[in-house]
Amino acid sequence: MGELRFNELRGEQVDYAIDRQERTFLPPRDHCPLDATLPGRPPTEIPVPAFQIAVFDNLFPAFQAPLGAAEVVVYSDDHNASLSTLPAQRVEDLMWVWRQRYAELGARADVDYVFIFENRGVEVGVTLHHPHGQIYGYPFLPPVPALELAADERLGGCAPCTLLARELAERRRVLFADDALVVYVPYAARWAYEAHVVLRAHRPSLLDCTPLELRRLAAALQSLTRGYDALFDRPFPYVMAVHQAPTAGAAVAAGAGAGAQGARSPGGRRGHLHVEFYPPLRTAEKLKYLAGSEQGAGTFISDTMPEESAAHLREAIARAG
Amino acid sequence: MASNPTGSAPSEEPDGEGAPRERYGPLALARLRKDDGRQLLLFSHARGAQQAAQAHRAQAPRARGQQPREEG
Repeated sequence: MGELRFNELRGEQVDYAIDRQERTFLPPRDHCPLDATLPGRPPTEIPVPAFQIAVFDNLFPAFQAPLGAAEVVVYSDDHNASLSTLPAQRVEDLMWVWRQRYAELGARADVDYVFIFENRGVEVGVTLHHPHGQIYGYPFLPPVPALELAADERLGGCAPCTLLARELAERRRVLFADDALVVYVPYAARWAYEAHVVLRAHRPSLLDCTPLELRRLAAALQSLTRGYDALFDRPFPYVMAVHQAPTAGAAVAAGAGAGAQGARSPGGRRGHLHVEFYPPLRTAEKLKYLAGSEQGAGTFISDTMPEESAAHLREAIARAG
Repeated sequence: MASNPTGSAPSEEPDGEGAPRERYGPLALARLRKDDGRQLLLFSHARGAQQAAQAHRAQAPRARGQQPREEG
């Protein structure tokens, strides 16, 4: 069992999950714990010979009941696949899986914030290459979503709605758009190739999305990640962060009577579903490190302008098709 | 489950491992427990799951456990 300590100087929680020190680290290809369990082979985390999408409690949890949750979401039994190469239907199904987990975890009294994310590439600390993401159920509201809610207050309304309108008005950083969402490099991107995937309509969470919006979201995630892979002609490392409405106090609100098609965000209208990508590469070979200014002062120093990055990414997305 | 916060609809349809399946949107969901007690959820596209279940039923018992991997 881990321990939460409050860092007074930073005003933030620090999670001590010391059992994670022993977690599986870059195992040989034939010992991947996220593969299916094939006849005659040692059992993996998923004891069936084939599967589509699997979700299980993390063996080395950062959070666990009665103080949160940590789950692994395996996108496929194809060890070599990725979000960018999976069949479109599989990624659309993944949106429904995310939605189901958001609802179920968010309804728990010990989960205040459901955070779906993916770390891709050793550059961001990946320890297993099999295509997968994770879900943390935080027993508190973490700082980043709290800052987004504070931005709502500062801007006098939904911050992602306001920022989306600005990006659409300026257009220079928009990578692509359709009737449901817009993908852009934000005006004040911290990472060279940071991109945000934002629903046009104010949707606090996946629960508020229509099936068509979920399909569009899946397609946008694939278009963007394919463009990333085409940018430097290599698998592109990133952190993908799905930001949704907090679920604090949602144990009843998300409960009985909410059909799969009719469910609504437990947190009311606060929050706006969007997906942020933080890629650490600033060139094909050079990483952006969080160093003195970023860590010691909290100010990002960027080597690129978002408008130039957007132009490069647009070309890469067009090449990737 | 005492409550059903996800809107999943329980179903009688068993999956290949004998667990009852729920439906969630276009997905079939089987809830399993690993040997150490951790939960394992297997999601599959409902249409694909139906086809897989039919194929599973059609298989001779001796062949079970050796079925080809699904598209992934």
